[in-house]
Amino acid sequence: MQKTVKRIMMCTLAIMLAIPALSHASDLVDPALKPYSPVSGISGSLKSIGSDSMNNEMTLWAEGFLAHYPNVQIEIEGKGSSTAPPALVSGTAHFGPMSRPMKGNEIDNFEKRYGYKPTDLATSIDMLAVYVHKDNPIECLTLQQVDAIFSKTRRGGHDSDLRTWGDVGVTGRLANMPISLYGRNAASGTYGFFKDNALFGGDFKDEVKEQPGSSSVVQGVASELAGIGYSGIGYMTADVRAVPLAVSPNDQCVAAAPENAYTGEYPLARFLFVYVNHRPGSQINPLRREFIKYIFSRDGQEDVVRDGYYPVTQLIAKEQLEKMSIR
Amino acid sequence: MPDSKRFTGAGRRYKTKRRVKIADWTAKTLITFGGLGTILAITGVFVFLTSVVVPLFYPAEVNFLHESEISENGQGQSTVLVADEYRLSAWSAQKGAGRIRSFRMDTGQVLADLDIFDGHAPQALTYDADSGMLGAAFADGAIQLVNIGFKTAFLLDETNLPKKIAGLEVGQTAVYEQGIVQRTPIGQLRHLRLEVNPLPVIDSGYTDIQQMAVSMLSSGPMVATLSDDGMFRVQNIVTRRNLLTGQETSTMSGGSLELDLADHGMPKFLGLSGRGDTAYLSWEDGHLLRVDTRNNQRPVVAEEVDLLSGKNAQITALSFLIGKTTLVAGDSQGQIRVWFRTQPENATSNDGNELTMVHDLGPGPAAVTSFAASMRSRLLGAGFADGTVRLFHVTSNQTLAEQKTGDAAVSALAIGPRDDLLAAITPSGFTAWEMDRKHPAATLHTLFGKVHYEGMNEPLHIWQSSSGTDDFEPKYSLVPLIFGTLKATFYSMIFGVPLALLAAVYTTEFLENKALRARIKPLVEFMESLPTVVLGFLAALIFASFVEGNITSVLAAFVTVPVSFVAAAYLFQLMPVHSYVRLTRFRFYLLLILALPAGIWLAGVAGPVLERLLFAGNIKAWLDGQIGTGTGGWFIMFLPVSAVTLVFLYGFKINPWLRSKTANYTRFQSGVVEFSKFLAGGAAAIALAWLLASLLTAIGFDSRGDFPVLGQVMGTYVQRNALVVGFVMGFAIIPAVYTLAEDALSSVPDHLRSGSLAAGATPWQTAVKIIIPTAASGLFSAVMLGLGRAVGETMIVLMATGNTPVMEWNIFNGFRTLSANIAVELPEAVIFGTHFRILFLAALCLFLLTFVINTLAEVIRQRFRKRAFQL
Amino acid sequence: MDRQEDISTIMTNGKGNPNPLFRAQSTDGRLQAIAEGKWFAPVVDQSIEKEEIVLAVKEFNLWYGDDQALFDISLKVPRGKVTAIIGPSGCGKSTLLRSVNRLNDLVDIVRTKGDMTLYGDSIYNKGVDVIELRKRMGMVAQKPNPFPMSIYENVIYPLRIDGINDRRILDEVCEKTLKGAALWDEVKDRLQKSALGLSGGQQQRLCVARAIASEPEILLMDEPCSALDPVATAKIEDLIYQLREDYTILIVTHNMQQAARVSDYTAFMYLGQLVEYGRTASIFKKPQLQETEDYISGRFG
Repeated sequence: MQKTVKRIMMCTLAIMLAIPALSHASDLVDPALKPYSPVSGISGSLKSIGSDSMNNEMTLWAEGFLAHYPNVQIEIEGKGSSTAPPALVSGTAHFGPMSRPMKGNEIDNFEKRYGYKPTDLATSIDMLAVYVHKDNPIECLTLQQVDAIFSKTRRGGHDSDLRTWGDVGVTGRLANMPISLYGRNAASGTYGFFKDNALFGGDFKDEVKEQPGSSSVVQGVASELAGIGYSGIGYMTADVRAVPLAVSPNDQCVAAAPENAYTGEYPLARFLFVYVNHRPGSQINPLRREFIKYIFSRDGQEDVVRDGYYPVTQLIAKEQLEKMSIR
Repeated sequence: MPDSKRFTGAGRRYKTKRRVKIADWTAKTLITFGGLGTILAITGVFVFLTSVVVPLFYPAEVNFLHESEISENGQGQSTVLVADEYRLSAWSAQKGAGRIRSFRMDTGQVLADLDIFDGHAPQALTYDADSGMLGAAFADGAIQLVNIGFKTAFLLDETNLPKKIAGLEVGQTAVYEQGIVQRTPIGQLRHLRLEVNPLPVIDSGYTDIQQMAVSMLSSGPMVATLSDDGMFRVQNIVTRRNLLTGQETSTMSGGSLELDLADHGMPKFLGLSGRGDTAYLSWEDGHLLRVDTRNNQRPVVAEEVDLLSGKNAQITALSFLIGKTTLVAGDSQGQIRVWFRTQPENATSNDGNELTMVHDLGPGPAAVTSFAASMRSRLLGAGFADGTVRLFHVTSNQTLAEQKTGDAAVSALAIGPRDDLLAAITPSGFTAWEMDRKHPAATLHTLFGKVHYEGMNEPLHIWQSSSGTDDFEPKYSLVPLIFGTLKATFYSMIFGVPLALLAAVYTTEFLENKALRARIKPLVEFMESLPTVVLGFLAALIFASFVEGNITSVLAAFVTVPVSFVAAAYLFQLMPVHSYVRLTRFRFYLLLILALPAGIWLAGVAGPVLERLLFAGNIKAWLDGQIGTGTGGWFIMFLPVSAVTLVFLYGFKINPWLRSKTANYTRFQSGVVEFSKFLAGGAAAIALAWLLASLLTAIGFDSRGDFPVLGQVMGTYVQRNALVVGFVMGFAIIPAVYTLAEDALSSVPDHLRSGSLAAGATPWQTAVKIIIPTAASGLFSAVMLGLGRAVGETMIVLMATGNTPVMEWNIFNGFRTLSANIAVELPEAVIFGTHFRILFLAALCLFLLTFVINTLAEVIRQRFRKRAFQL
Repeated sequence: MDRQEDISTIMTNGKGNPNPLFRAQSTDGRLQAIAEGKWFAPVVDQSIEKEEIVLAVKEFNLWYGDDQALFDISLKVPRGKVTAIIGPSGCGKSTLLRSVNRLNDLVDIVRTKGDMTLYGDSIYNKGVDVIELRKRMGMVAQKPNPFPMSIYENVIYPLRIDGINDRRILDEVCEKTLKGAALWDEVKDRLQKSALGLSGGQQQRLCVARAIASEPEILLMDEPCSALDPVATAKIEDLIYQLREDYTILIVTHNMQQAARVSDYTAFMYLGQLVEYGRTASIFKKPQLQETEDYISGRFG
């Protein structure tokens, strides 16, 4: 969420995230993805403005990229997906990471300025988890129940409002406690995605406490026994658990595990995008080209895993690179 | 000059030195400029804010763009019209024919005439604008879904293009390969073509489908059909793509419902909601059947509604708004009504929802013949039988524009994908208007009044300004934000102002040690230099969880600490005179070391006891209304009232009586009497409060319930609440109030103080009767300064509340203020869009609020000053 | 002797405080010695001992920080009489008066030694409740200081702070004291108006009324007429003369004629020491010390 420029911070972050995840890293990444091989003559500066959920990811990519090209400078700002389109339009940023696709009028603004639409690159896969306190015994929630908990419109079709944990079937100490809701603020792509998919397009309740960042949602839930909140799977800590979700009362409960994201069974899986300004038919500037190639290389996708997200397959990577005419 | 003997030996210059004159003039000019400049700057800010806000209220502009004739191909009237996003071409479909045509808007030249159904004419044709899907059902039971849309490609290699194309200038267009080519502002050639992608044919086996509707769900298309024999069927086609293998698997599921068509015949219209959860069947006479299709294997009739409610008219057109949740019905008299489902408490339907008429867009010039809904906003276009075309914004009930195209009925209408075009097809041809809708979502009514938004049960004040998708409707009521600002100010003033004022009175009137007084002031000002971000952080992370764990103890502390101070004072008086006088210098430290910890300890002990007695053992559950009665709440609210009543009672009745009886008591005895008076008074206050509380509960008023204003003060507990934030914000405004109050109090002339003390008044009496009334104008200014700071406080609110836009006075839940809202939302708002301008309107409101408060304060302060100026 | 020639002699009190307004006329005797720091026992008229004593000052000393302002003052103020304290500027008379009701306590750097008694009750003992003490005295300051309230509220202020709220009592007291202060006729129709609207003389009389409203055992007046015009001064002096039977008055004045007119006893102070104290008649006609005579006849001061 903060502007990160100091390399020391990035190194420490990378090391901290790398140690527990290193063991997993190689298993998840598609073996068909090739490692990144650097080229010569790369220098300059890159700036990325956009999603908070993708902030750590961008940092890891930047760190990995800088390991190959120490002369390059990279600045990363992550205040929310909605900050990416204006930055791309005004040219303030080269990359606009967004955890949701661009809206119609955002694309229009870009097109009005440049005459072509922005290019979206699907760089990684995220699962949006519904977190509860680690001592909360709830086993499964249907999307309709999630909708009834978080929204006031209940478009999912659940009959009644769900206000206390007892209403969802939890017994014991929690039964009478009102559900304490945590969420993101409206600039966030996570907010938009959750609203569209879990609330069926409806409106959040006024009582949802808007947190400025993905990790603060998890922190909030961890601090309150009666808490519930949504955030990227990469932000899970030991003080919370991710509740398995079911698409409807008739369907099975699907846990927020990696395999479920790829099969399409987990209902809240999404792509994380990086938007770039690429004039159709033109050759992209070498620095940016190499960064994008890094993202879609084995190294870049291993960074994705380190951050807690899921890598794209070689097929998808190839598709994305084609969009930029990069072979 | 007289040449007389001089007293001092030196003389006096009678002419002012040039240098002094210049310095004088320069200073005067600079100061005048500074003063004028300040006024100009403030006016400039005001003008700037207003200039950004005023365009919100500009009306929409609709201007004629194209008119052309489209060649008749004998296939009948078009029923579907869709324009492309660049306003260059459009396509239309004719129901009877099964053909679609794309044509240039400006000339009417046909670009492509496509027979998409291999010559078969469909029995039922439907178009879902939200997904761009055309659906057709045929006599042999086949159902064909076709994706139709304009695709953009860039022609990069210009050398192989015909000269006419390659030679296009910026903005010019030409026809090329069934599409249109245009040169973009940066010099590229953009080719726009209609692309038709049929989905695999579905062999449904139902041969007499008369009506059809289709919606695109995230899992795949959903199709609803009605056959001649009254069988209503729904089918979901679910496609999942495995991201690893790229494989797609499709499954179909559905069910049917038999309808009795004897009464009304075949319905004229079949619609399917955007989420696939409801289907609507409507007849010309206004009868509507709503079918619940959430369980697609068993659709059931949910309710029957009369759209016309007795009017002598017929329904002539029916459509949806974006999202396909809101139904729009137009009748033969030109009346347009807007309906959507609400969930009233006493719903009579089978699924708890009721279709409710929400907006009435007024009568029209002739029968409504066609509708068009915007793909971006809540705009609605309506075409009438006499060729009139009207543009409405549904949520705010506004008619934005009206245009005319000849005299023939409008058969198909379209709003461009970017909300910048309105197009109509009539028998005489095609007409298009360019449209600038400006900001229809922002009217004084939607900003400050209650609005009935889609999906809500009643008109409400809602602030929910943005989201990540397009079909969301932003809700811009400033009222919850203004309420939040007032709530924040109120609670922070309650905590901060009394503390600051009393502290100022203490340091000026009671503190004898001048050296200490000189040190306290910079210390308090040091408090002011604490960054509010840090305070907000502390509040959010530390205070909030602490208070949550000890709610009743914290509440008890507000009573026990002052009470223990007063009790300590009474006990102090019982001491023999000599020790009393000797120790009186140290009473501040004694209070700090003895009474304060005693008060806190007492609060800690009293907390659980109070929780059991007043709140049935669990205050959070009690606040939530789950357990206990309202007596506890009333008791807390009545306690200060009864305490004050008793003080008055004492003052007027009991004290004089006591004084006469105890005139000859010794000092010690008098002290005992005073102390017992205090204890008795405390007990009486508690008893009185309890009595009143029980009385109110017996009558039936619950303190957590609907009692006006007071009932709202205690409600469900939220961790980040106004109690914590108010306390911390109070802490932040204390230095400002203290400094000014202390200045005001110490500037009261000393001779008044001496006069009062000489007359035998105690320092407290002097303060209350003489000093404070004299310094009233300064104290008032101090309070107003605190108020101004509280109104504009952003950081603490941002970090320590949940920024929830609730409109409740509940001290135990949060709020969203104008200032915090601007801080959170401005970075992401599209520059000069509606949201952006409304945030500026919020800033303007804040500006005006502060301006009005300050002006009022200044007027009152001047009146106070007049009384005291003679001193 | 030409006065001008002695202007340059600047007198100090031996501690280094110059007092340029002082011009010692006599080169011998007390005043010079006092100025150089020597202490002399005052010359006191013994007939005072026969009177009933209200206020007894016993070897009272006062320091402002390091500078001593009062040196072993011993004085007895008789009941029902007007006692005046006179002396040149800076001799400590106002300081002495303000010490009686301990208003000097408000000044941080003041230190005292010695005692005073009011009807035998110590004033400066450690355990004395100052507030109660002050209730027994009334004070009129040099500059009129009416409170920013109505005339009525000003007058009955001492009763209000005692908790007396009975309207009848208050009205009675108000009328009596205003009549006593010779102000009643002028203000009886506008008692509720602000006291700040009165003229200087009226305000001072109001302050006197306020001071006597609490029936004080001793009435302290610190140069009450110095800020007033001759007409108002005359009225106040009449008032003092009338009050004398019922109240004991201790008045500080630098106007000797005033002292001669209104007082029964006069004390002469110089540079913080009591020089001579006796009946007014004697002091003014035939003082025992040459220095006193010099002061009174205006040869210095």
